[in-house]
Amino acid sequence: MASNNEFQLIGNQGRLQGFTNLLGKENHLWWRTSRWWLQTLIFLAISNGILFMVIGIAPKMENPPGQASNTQADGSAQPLDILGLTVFLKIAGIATAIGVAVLAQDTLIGEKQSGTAAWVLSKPVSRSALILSKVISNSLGILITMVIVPGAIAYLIIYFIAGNAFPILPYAGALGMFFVSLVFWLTLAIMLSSLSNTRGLAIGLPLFLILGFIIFVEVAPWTADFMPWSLTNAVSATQPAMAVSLVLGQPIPTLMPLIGSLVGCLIFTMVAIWRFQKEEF
Amino acid sequence: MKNTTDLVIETHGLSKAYKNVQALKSLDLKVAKHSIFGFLGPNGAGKTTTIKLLLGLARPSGGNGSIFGYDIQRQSVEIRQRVGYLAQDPRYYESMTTRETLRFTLGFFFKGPKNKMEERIEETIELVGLADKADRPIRGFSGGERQRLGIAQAQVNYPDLLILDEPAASLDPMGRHDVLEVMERLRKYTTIFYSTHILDDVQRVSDTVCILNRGELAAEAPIQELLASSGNVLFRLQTRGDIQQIRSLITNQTWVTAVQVEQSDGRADWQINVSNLDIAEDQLLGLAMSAPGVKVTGFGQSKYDLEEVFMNLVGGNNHGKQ
Repeated sequence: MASNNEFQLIGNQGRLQGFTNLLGKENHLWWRTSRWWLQTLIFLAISNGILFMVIGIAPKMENPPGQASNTQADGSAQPLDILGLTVFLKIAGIATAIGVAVLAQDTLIGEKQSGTAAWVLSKPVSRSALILSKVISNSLGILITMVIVPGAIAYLIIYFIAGNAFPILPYAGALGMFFVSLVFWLTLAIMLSSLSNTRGLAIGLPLFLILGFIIFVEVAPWTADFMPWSLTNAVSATQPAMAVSLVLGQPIPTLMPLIGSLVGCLIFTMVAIWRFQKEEF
Repeated sequence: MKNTTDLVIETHGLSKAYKNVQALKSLDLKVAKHSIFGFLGPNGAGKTTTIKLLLGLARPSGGNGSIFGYDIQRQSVEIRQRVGYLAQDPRYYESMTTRETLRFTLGFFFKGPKNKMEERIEETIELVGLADKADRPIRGFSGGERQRLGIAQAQVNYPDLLILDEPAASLDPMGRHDVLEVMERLRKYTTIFYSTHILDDVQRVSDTVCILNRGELAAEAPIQELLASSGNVLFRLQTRGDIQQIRSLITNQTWVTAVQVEQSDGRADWQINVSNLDIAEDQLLGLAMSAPGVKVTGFGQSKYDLEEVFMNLVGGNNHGKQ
């Protein structure tokens, strides 16, 4: 039996002990399994499929009597490119957020319940490294499969159908806002998974918040300042989604939803780490 | 801070309560370097709980412990850098292959030349007999194959301490034999702390045994000492003739603690417990032969096996109780 002298011992890395290795494993689960193309296909079909139907097929169909076409606040018809952008961000902002919540709850609860978390934590690994590796790898997976790929396809669909190419940088910024909103739901679901082993809570609360945003902004409009709803959705008749305003070069009245979402991501991750330190296996 | 003594594991009053259940009650444990330490007990005795406390997977309710001189609560990562662990019901990432799992495991301990890392992985795969399944996803593995993988991942880093929770439980007799052989082979490199309820295995490979019952330490001793401890040496005697003569001679001796006789067809089969092995060896046969009208047809010393010691200590009445 050979000795360990031929290797270099991984020394004390504190709260990041084992992080690189764990991140590699999480990335493996994203990119070396069917997950990446399945997620990409699902969200291409939902976000880009609906976008194509709305701006590629629906305008060619005659409006039934009594049904108005899409109009803006001043009553004029909404240009196809703006309609496309609005629809894409709205659909993606809700459907993809739901997908993220479903995906995220399993990443921690699944490991706690199956016993793989206990196995990994029997190795020289810090618990904070485990949570951080999940947040970062899933963020990367979400960024590529649910934001960049569908976002690029949406750009092309709008360009070819509406004939207008949005400026690249503001469009990338809009996708960045969309990404922040998804990371918000990701970290929220991971935090809830650390607090409880109940999948219902980890999926249910994010779904309630995603789908119930219209009620929340009606009842307590101030909540929109701390939640990511307005990043991709219009929360009032006069104010389009922040991401849409950014692309169109319109003024953005407040950055609070963006800041609130980023702070939320940070708080949720910290709570998840704090709670997971106390977890017993 | 490293411990300078020869003890690898040491606990003082280690205890764990889950809600209203006291899973472990004030355990004092000492495991010497390079021993194969058998941790015995019926289901629910607290064996797995103890292991989880040692590895930092659960927090003690009381007491303390150290491994290699590192505190089990405050220096758990330092401990786990030198430990290999096989869980009772090991679970791995199903999409990974054996090779990928071992590569992942080794990556927590070392970095170094890739070819050397791969050599170590290959050697470990060979050791546990998984060469033909090295590149298949784990999801198709049988219980025995998972257990072999478990042993492989526990020892791929050549740990100073191997903690194995029921390592042979789900294996067939051949698999069990292989596991015990691996353990014996590793003895000179590492300390092995393993829990089991398979007493034959313990008797075969362990040098020290701890018996846990209902969360309490029932006994801890080198196995030979445990087997030969007071009252546990047994002599067998076969005679023909009048048993009354010989019975009174034997029972009158102060070093005889118990006598049992079974008779059939004029033959008697005696089981005689003694408290002093040396005197019994010197005098017992002579006493039997001196009894008038008695012929001794057989004589020998036998010891309780571990199962008898175990049953005496745990009372045989709480299997399966939590």
